[in-house]
Amino acid sequence: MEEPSFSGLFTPGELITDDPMWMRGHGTYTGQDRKTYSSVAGKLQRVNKLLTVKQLNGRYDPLVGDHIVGRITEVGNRKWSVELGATQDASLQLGSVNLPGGVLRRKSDDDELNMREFLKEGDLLNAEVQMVYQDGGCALHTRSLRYGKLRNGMLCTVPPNLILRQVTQSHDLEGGVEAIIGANGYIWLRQSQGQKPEQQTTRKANGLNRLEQDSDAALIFKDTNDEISIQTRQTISRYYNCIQALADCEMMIFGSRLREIYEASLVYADAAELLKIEVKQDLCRQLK
Amino acid sequence: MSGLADRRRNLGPIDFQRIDIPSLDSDELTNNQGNATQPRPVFVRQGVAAQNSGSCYLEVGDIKIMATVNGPLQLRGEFQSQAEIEVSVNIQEFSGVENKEETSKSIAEFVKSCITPAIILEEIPKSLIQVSIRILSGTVGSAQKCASVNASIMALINAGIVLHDMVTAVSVVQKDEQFFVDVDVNENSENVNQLLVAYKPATKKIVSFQIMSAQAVSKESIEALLSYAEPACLHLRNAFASYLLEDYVKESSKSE
Repeated sequence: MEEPSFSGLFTPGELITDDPMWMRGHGTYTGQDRKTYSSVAGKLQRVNKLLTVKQLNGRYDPLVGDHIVGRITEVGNRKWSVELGATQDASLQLGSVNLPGGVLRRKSDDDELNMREFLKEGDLLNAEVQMVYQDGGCALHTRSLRYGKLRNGMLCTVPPNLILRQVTQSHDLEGGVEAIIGANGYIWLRQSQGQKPEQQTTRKANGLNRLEQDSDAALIFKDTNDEISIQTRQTISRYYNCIQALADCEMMIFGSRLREIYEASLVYADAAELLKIEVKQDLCRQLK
Repeated sequence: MSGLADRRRNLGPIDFQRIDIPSLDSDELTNNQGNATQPRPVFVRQGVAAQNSGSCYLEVGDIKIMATVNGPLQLRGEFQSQAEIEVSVNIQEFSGVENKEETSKSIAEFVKSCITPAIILEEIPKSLIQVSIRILSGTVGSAQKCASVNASIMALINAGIVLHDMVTAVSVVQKDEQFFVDVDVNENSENVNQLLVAYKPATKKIVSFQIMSAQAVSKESIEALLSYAEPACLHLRNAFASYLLEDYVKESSKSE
């Protein structure tokens, strides 16, 4: 019986261990000889007795609780299909979104007919993975104020293995920009949604809780963009180019690193300069 | 006058030099390495096409191949418990290959028969995996087919698709009593027995097998051919694995 090695790389078909005491997770399979083999090229990881091989690259593999950014591809029978860059489209049930007029209410036939008014094909949204299916698909939910339709910004896609999973995936960044880093490698950069102080006071006076207020259809499912100044637009593109620089240099992407690279990039007055490969490499070399 | 202008256009510029692709002489069986029992050195590079899920560029001898993989993509319609595989072969105009349609069909068939058993199809239900092979240069023969298989497998690994094993394919040619591994021979050469075989090297199982010969091939020669193929496949697998490892060490040192 050999102890599996946790250093180095496994290639598909390589024997991991012949000891049956280990449990087999993702990236492994059992042959007819009941030994454990690797099925992808990657690094072996262990959680207690569970062995998994984490692949170097590949499509997004959904995990329960992941904060993701996706795009609606289909409006179906009481559910939406959402493209996340995984092997299968995710499904967002009509029952797992907050609709206007109260937080928790039964979804009526009217709601079903109006589905396209809430979310239609091509819309971007952020949501959380609620359940993962056997076939690689998953179910999403948007039952929180953090989630919902996205507007006022631009999408940036990077390989999903570059995203570091953190407690919060949305970050308020310098320059009035907010980044939502989806675990699936889709990053949404938008104008910060700082609430105006007078709005907050009126809310308290009304005696309504925040959840009910925010579930207002006009806010969650609004389609039109606010006015975005040229300055903010340029800052957003600067962040976009910074993220592309990180992706090109194969560096992990997370909130504090975005702040760091943004600060470093301010040496270059024009955001377009960040598209040059030498500049990208130079910026990434400066990071810790 | 106009006729002259037209002719010049068809012939191209005056100082144009035609690319001369030498035709292979089947009598001359060497794999340019002097060592005929080992496959030729291979150049591979993964991740060369950004738009695809996975890709691989492979060179061996004068063969140049680019394989790309898209998928797993979602299949609509009826539920399917296993993934589907599509292989398309595209022979470039400038590759110097004749009879493109037939050749591409035979290559696609062989590649599909080799890579299908390699993929763990049950783990990716209702999905489609598209493999597309672009032949950029090289004569078409058994070596080309094998190189296509090897390039596709590396592209599949790059795409992160779950595999039973890294299948490698190799061709062995027998001429009289001599055996040559991984040589370019025309498919219709006479007086030679050709064997194309793809192995799952780790488990030493044959996944695909083709024999081409003008005459009947005896059991003994098949066994002899196979005895050369197996170590060659294992050799290729080790070569590819060491490439992956090298790449991995480079990448991990870069990111942290």
